[in-house]
Amino acid sequence: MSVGVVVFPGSNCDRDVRWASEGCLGIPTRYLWHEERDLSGLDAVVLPGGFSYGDYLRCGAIARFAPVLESLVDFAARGGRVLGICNGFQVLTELGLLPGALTRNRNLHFICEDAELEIASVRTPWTNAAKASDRITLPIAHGEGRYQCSDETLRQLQEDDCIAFRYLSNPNGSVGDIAGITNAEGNVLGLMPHPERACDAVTGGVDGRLLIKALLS
Amino acid sequence: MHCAAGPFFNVHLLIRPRCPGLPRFNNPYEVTVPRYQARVLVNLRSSVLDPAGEATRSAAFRLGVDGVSKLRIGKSVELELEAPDEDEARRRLELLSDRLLANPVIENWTLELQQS
Repeated sequence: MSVGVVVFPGSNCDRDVRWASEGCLGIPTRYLWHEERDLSGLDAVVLPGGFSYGDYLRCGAIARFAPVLESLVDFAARGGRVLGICNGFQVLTELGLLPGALTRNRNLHFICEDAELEIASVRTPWTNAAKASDRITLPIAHGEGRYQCSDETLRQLQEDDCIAFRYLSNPNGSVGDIAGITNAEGNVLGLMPHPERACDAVTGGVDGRLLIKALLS
Repeated sequence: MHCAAGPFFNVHLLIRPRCPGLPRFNNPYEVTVPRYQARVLVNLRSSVLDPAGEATRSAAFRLGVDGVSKLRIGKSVELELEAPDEDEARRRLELLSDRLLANPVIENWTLELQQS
């Protein structure tokens, strides 16, 4: 049972994720360089935060073509768990594993603060250890985190119970206060807040452990 | 000894096959591949909020330029490419625009193409 953390040129939360999973929770974790294709032996893959390929063109637009992501698409299709955090969420939407897109924050600021979230769905293994409408606090740190999708996609997300987290106080202008979504199957989760930065009590909270533990639950 | 291959001194005299279409010096089969110039304009869909455009619009007001009722910021991508004909050039550029230069979820694009 082990977890892979993808390392793109420009990723900067890869080590934080490994500290959270391996250092705080004892989950065996290895890095996956963006040119690797071999995901054998992994039960879950994390796409960490940062600025993959400098976020040139659009956030996640270049990362989408990384060799490791070709394997990741098959991995996800076979039901493997994929967690995209912040830039990882942006990559998942560019890749088409999750619907919608992430755009510039409404107030144009890079927002770096704690955000209170409501667990909007406990349908998937990511959140089924919690109770519906439980509240957790996770840090956010993004300039382009405004979730955007068509009305039709939003309806579909609601119908399929795919909205995993909502902001209690919307910081960036996301439609429907959306902070994180899953795919219909429930094995792929993308969210803008950083659970890996809330796993070690010294960093101000351990609410993120819920999601890091769920990688292997 | 006039053997073309092998560990001899005259290896550099080895005659390489000349490929049609390859723009090599003194290649009798060289054909000119048409070159095209293109510009892809990428704009946010009208339904998507453009906070940077709004900020710029309010700066226009502070500059003293009144009456700017709409200002939206996009990208312009200039390309040069070689393709056998215009249809093929257009096909390649459309693929590129749709799959890489623009994200159809939030952006529209238009293509300007001309032979150079």
